[in-house]
Amino acid sequence: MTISLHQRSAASTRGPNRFRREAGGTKLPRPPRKLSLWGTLILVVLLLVGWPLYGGHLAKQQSAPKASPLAGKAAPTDPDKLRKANESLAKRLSALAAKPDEPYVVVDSALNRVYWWQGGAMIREMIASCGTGNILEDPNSGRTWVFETPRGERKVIGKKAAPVWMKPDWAFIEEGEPIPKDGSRRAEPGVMGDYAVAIGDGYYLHGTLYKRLLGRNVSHGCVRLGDDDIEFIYKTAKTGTRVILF
Amino acid sequence: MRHLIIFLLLLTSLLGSLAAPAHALDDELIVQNTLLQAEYDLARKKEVYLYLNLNKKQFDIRSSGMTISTIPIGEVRPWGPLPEPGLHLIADKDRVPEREKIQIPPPGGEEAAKPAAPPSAPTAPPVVKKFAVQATEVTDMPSHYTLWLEGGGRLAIKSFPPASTRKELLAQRFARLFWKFSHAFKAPFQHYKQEPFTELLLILSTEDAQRLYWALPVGSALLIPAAQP
Repeated sequence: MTISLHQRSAASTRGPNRFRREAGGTKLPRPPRKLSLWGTLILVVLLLVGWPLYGGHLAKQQSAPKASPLAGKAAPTDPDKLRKANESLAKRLSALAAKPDEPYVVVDSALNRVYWWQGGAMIREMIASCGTGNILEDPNSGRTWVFETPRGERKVIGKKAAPVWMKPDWAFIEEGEPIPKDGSRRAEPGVMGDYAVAIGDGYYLHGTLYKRLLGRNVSHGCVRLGDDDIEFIYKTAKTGTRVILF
Repeated sequence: MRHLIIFLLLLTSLLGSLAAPAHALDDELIVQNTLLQAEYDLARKKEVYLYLNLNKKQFDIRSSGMTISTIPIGEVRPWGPLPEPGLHLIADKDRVPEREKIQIPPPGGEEAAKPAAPPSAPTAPPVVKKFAVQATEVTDMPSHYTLWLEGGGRLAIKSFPPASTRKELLAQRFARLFWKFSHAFKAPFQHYKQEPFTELLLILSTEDAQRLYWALPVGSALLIPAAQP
């Protein structure tokens, strides 16, 4: 038995929006609003749950970020040879490290601190002033200087008591003065304190006149220290003592 | 016959279980070799490098194989696989603070501007100049930033103050959920665009995040071992 649409709609005139009579009776009835609401809600929930789940799955499928290729010989494939190669590398690496009784200096340019390490322990902490990181540009020559404390491992290459600072070109440019041709006009005694310890490329660990600025980044790249601390380093460090700066 | 099959199955599984650790051992040796070779090369070049010690949850600042300082990590959250063990170079980083540019005084300008002063003795300490404290210091470094690794992937660094109240704790938990959800939501789009989207989020204290930013300039070396967080 079949019931025509006209009959059904007539039978259910009380229910709101239930099988509305369509003109001509050719179109299919719309689903009830409640049902379509539920359908949309389920779809949204599925999307909200499924999309991130799919995202998480995709993240797991990603390839790991590649490490930089290493220069040198390829690692042996034989496990025994590989084990021996690792032992040899570990030995060579420990040979580069400081010997147990060898002292070394560590400069932390972020915290403006200098540490004296000996016998595997830090035995003295000193307040310092490292580079500002400021930039100086010479408008005439186009040369640029960045006043940063260098990073990396260096060695003490010389020591001076009562050092005289030989002002480099940038010191004159910074002050708006002409660069002297006479070398004697570059000499400025007293500004480096009582002692200076050279670490190469014109960088020093030295004393300072501006003690109240210790702990701040105010130097042109050198490491400034208080009187007692620079005296300690001057007297204790030897030519060849490591100075590690970061 | 049945006993023979069971015996053979047992034997095969036994051999299989013995073979698996041997493979794992080989992999471990290869990773160890990669890390040692990378570290030895950096040590020979007298470079300062960082070692992401995930087991101890800290960055080791190293030179010549010696740990000279450490930066503790509060929390590690990987999104996608961890970077391959080995040497990773910092290719780029965001939020680089602008450096101060020194203003050069006009020739003779400083002297001309000064009122007539008595001539100072040659040994008198020079006056502290204004530029002396205009510097890029560690406190100028950001505490929320991203470091891009050369081989793809990135390290996201964030810092939150330790939660002291329940409200703050809840806020941090919500932030963690939001981080996961937002990454999961973005992932299909990034996959469609063929962008790499692996990330290792590290949560540090504000001071440590700033120190890490200082210690890892663009081009610096970072050693990542194979440990899982």
